[in-house]
Amino acid sequence: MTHDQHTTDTPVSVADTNRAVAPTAAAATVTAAGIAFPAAAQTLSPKSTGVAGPGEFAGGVVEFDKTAIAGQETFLNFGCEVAKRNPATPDWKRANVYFERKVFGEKLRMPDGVEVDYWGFEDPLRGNGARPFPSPVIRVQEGDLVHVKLQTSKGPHTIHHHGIEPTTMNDGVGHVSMEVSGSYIYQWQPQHAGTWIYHCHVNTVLHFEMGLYGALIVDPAPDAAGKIRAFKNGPEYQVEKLWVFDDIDPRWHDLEHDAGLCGGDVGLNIFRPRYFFVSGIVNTRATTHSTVAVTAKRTDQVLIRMINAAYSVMRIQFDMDVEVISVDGHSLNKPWAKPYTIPRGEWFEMATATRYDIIIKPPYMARTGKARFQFTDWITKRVHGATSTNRLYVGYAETNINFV
Amino acid sequence: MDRRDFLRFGAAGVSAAAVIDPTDVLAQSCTTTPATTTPNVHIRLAILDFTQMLVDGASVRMLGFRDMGPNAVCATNANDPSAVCGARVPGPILRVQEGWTVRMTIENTRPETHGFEITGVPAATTVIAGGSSVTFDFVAPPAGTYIYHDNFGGRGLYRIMGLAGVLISQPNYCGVAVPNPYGTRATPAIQAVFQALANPASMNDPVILARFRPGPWMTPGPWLPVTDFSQEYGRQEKIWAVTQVDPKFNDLITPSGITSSTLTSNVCDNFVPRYFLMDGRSGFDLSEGDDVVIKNYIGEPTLIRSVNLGMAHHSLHIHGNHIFELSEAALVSDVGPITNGYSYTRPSNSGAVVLRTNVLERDVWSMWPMQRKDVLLPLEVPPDIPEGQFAAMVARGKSVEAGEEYDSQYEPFPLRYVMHCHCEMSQTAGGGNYPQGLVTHWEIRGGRRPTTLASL
Repeated sequence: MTHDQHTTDTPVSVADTNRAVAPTAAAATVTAAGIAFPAAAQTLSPKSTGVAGPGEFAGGVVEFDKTAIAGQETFLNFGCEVAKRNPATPDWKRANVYFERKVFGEKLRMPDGVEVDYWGFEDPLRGNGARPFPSPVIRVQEGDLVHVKLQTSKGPHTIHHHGIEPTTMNDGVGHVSMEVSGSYIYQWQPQHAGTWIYHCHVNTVLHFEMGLYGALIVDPAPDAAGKIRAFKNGPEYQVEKLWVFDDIDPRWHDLEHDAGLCGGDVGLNIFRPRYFFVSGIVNTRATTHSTVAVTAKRTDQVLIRMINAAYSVMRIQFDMDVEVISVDGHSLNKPWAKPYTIPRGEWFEMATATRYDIIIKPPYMARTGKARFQFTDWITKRVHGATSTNRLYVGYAETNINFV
Repeated sequence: MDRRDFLRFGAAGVSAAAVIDPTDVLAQSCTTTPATTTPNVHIRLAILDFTQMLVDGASVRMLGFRDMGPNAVCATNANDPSAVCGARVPGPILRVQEGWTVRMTIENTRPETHGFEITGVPAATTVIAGGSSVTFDFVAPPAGTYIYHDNFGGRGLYRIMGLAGVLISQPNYCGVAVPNPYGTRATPAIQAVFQALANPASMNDPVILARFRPGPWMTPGPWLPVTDFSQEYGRQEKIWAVTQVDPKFNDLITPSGITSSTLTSNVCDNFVPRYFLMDGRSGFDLSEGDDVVIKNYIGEPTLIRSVNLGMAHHSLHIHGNHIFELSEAALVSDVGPITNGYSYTRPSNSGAVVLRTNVLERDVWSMWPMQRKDVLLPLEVPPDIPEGQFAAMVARGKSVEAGEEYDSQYEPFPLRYVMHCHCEMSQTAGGGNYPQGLVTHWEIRGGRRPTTLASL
């Protein structure tokens, strides 16, 4: 077992000589290189998990022909020998919110005593040394000019802000841009409030499974009363939950950072998960754990943001009617898309990487109950580990929803 | 790696099997009624076996459909020069118009018996004994995307060996002000999507105007259908037909028949896919080719007819733009036990195309085996590019393809985004080799298509 690619030693960087000199004053508008810096767009959202911008500067000239942006695409650099760079961020703009995410390797101890390697992103700015599983939430506001600095470890990584749609350079896919071997500052400006994911897109089949992901939430600007709704003119909520589904096949967690990338059968087409999580809480503890279980007042509206970060097809059932208000970060308030109700008792599905935002509304008479989660196989459609006598290994979890 | 060489394998010879006199469908008359006494089109297919090379250099035996029509393109199979002319997996695109009488002849060149059916079209079901041929007529179904396949034995064995393809039924566009893939059958929600893309200002709705940011590069444009039945795909219409290969099943294919094996008693439980293909290729080979790769400008929304011909679930994820999910279709007996996946409408148990009354915008769409979903990529400016940056890119006019200098503080066109399956086991080939699986690209080439560029 090894994860030496993922120790938190001093990162190895490709020398990068092209970054422009940072402006010395925050009010600087144009550098010697001619880069314009718009004034900061807005102040931080009260729910932001970032720090006020502009943060570190990394604008400058990019050698696009040494990336997949302008380089010749070949069989080798498509997968095995992807460009590994450490470039400046093109079209640099001044950020009003700034994040850092640093790759680490750690061990997760399962309830049966088994230790499983996992990799994650930690937050050097606001994380206080914590290495949570899943990785810390990136939370921003519509219209923020966001910079996210990725700090890699020994091996290359990227951040793909899944569902966020920036330029190719800022999309985090190695074989159409570059893998990052050191640091890169991703730049984007979210237009749609909703629920998203961020994850590493290098050898994604493995790195996403190893834990290199976290939730990403975009809030609307506060309304006239100062309340932050689910989206502009959308529902208010008093209680908010984030349910992130994940499953772990321990065999995969013994693999190397670049397993299979340059050929060889490492079995990454076969996924047989043994452990199941909701928001990092193992299935046997999810029923009452406060991270997952809902406790709300009878006058509250409850917003639940659900993300499927598992390779299982999730099947989900509530004991109460729930209203779907947003799917994959796009709110259902368009002429072609309206909110809809999933009736109590009905199972519905979430494919990998899907997000649903749902609301549980008053009145709550007889609406205290449970939500149930099945982790099912992509081919057989069966619940994983269904025949196991140990509940830990069964792809099933549930949690309490109580109105008091 | 024993890959043969590092050249990119392209699409196999591509032609629509339903070749008739090319007709501009947008110029159709409302008064023309389809002939009923004689078929409007005669499609001829053959079932045969051939060898296909996979992305890592491995080869497998396949069963495939070949276009035997008079205008068939008998190009050498680019994936294997020694392969039988014209054989391909998935089979040739069959493009017809709803209401047509379609005559179909299927020749079975193999020794074993094969079946043929079109999901949702009961009249198009037959069995063809080894070495024989069958001809039958059926009426083309309501506009939408259909799967033809061999389900002989009921376990999907011949389908995963390659005997499956896509039939497209087009509407009569007469009387349809803003073209959409379903003509007058389109639901109000679908009509609203196409209207909003063609002319958002016409919706006079602040939500729409906020959805598509204003400005010269923010205004989308109309969808234009394939106007010629001889084309498999168009500039604004692609067919993404996914398949999976488990070579141990392909190894059962021999010249004298299918080798008896315990594997075939429960194909699904024994199926361990090792290769993940779309339109017959994967990974590097799938990253180019006009049949798959969308290379368009802003305001050229593109229809993607996605079908899953394999036996594993896929979670198709697109970068750069969300898609509008317009329709889905499946037989519950093929897909089930399925739960309510997306909306409050369950799949039809008849296999008919279900047009969405609630069109969700998604970056992931779920594809069970034998499911068909039509989705629309709007070709809008990627919404999370910082304000003003895209317009500045257009104003600079820098494109990699123009051969200009690449050292710059500004990003050039095209903007290139991936589409891949997020059930990431499908991103592999032969158990590793990420990302040589189910991944392709699409491109935004610039702000508006230069008028000097010819259409496809």
